[in-house]
Amino acid sequence: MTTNKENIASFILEKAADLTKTDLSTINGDSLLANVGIDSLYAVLMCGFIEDEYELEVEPILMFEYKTANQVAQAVFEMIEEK
Amino acid sequence: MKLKRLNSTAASSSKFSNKEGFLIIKDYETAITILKDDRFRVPNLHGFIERLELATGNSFPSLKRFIHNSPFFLEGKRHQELRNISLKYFVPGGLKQWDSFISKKIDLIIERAMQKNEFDIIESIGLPIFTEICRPMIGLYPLNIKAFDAKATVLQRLIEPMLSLNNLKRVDQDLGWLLSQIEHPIPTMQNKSDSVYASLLSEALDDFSEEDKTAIAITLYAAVAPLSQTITNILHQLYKDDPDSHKAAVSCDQFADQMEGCLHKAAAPIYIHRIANSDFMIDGFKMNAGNTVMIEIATAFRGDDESCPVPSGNNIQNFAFGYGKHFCIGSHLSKRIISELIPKFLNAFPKLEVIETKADANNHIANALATFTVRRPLI
Repeated sequence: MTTNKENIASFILEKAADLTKTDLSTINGDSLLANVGIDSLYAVLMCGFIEDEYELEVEPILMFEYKTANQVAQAVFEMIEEK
Repeated sequence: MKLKRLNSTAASSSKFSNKEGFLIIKDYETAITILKDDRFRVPNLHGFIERLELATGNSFPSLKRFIHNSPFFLEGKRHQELRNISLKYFVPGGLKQWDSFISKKIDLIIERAMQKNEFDIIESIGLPIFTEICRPMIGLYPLNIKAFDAKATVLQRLIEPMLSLNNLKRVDQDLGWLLSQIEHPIPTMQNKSDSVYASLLSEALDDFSEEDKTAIAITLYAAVAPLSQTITNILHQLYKDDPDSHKAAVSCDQFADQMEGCLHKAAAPIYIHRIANSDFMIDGFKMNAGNTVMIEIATAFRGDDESCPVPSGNNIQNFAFGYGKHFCIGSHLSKRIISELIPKFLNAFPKLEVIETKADANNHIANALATFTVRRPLI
């Protein structure tokens, strides 16, 4: 599958929903991750998933720098492009 | 109180600036208010790692061992016990037996530097303080000393918020390796019971296993790293300020008067890190449980702009060594060494030309130099 911003955002949303036990259908790429319940533990876990999936080094602080899945996906996409 | 301006003063190059849930404090008055408020606690790293273990199925045994034996990550009974155990070695009375040893080593370190025309202050001054003064005092003689010293600084990295899972795994491995390096204490210059580690091992401490005691000793040793960095920063400040004449900016006598001020501005630790333990309002500002507060130590005393003035008055409290119940255990040792070494260095090198300085860009939690090369000017 081609890696693009959309499927990165989907990946982030699925993981966020899974971690926080949130119904995936109730959130989208523009939902605030803080409102979904992403805290420091989940941020570390989310970045672990992103690192494994896209073979990147990602600092968990990223989840607090960008507020939505779409914004995080954009940042991750740029890292992949730079790699 | 100026909590309301927290967000407006976040213009900083820190990787923690402008992040949701992260508050960077840059002014003295707000910093003191937060440090005095019990609703702000040190990060519960042990609890965090346990939750991470549950969520991932990974285990971090060495990390937990060190956190459980490092006063800066703890609150409550264990914290108090650890402080009591450690402090007795580092209060002025406990340090007295090391007085002549420290003075001799300082002289030796400076004499060695004097034999060179050009030298790196980190290698020639900063590191020997770590390895030649503090190692014998703590009494840690690892199997591979060089690798041990390099990895011991991983403990400093633990203070950095938001390390990634992979980083935490690496830190856990490194800490396990550090523990495996220590076999037994070797007699120091006087007798075996002089060193902190030997003394710890001989103490009957119900809640501390032998491995716990080793972790305490390694933690105390690693905690010396900021002292080396702070001394390097002080020398950098003193010599960089007068580039034309290559003279130190202050004399020995002036330094004695200015030491506290120097410590504020040259302290290696960038932040004091606290977490809000509940949701509450403070001076009209909404604080949420889990919010991270990072107090920029040097900035609070420097007064970078009008909204963060240089603190003034007779009651200015130094928090370069932390604050309150988490005040640095090694502060007396640090001041003991700094107050002797800097004047002796200034006497030995009244003039020095700064050749090269390079900040340690990989260190996000300490103001540390990676290179600081100086040369005696030609007469």
